[in-house]
Amino acid sequence: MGDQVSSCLGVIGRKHILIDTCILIDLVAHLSEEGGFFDFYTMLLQSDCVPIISPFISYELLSGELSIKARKVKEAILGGIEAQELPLPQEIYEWTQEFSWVYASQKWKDAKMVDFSNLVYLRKYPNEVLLATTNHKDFSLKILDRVFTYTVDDCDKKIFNISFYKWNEQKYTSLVTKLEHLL
Amino acid sequence: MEKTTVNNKKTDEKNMAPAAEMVRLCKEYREIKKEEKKVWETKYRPALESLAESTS
Repeated sequence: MGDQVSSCLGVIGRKHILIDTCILIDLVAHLSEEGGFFDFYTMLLQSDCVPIISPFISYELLSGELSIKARKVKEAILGGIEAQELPLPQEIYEWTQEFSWVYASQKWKDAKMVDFSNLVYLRKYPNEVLLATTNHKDFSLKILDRVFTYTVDDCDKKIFNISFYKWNEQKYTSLVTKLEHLL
Repeated sequence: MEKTTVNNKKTDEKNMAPAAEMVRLCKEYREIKKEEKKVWETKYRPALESLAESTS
């Protein structure tokens, strides 16, 4: 077992891993019998983590599919990763509004509702849930901790850095307090 | 919030598809998209271009 795999297993073990849409899209585009994504998927299978998705991630992955055939296969892929979705926490309305205010203040411009919803899950379950994503620009270290980065080397085609993020309430509260004094 | 569960799922309840099955599904999806692209290029794009020309 490689160093990267064993280190990653140590970080994600016994955790719920919220798989961001970008990873699912990359998996669909690149997973084959060998290569970096096969190793990554195999590692998830071997680990005792539980991959999870949210209704927003499901929606984002399936949206825009024209043919029923393609949609059905994508649904099967989603089911293969993890059939169950997390329910929407009741805090989603209050927290996403606050996140959008914080993001606007920091000029983090590209974040969408699905990104804010990921933050809601991280904040609600800080000790249980890690976010796995390649979309690093929408998940700032000013409010999160990056606990591990797994590099997928896709056989000379492209290199993907999948990072695992954890909520840091202290960082977030400190930033919000500063903003409240400023704005 | 329960300390050991999220959505009542415990960490030993994982039921992911085997890698070979996921590879098969992903390849099937890529084939469908290739076919869709062909149909788009040979059928829909010419039809839309023709429509655009006739209405310009």
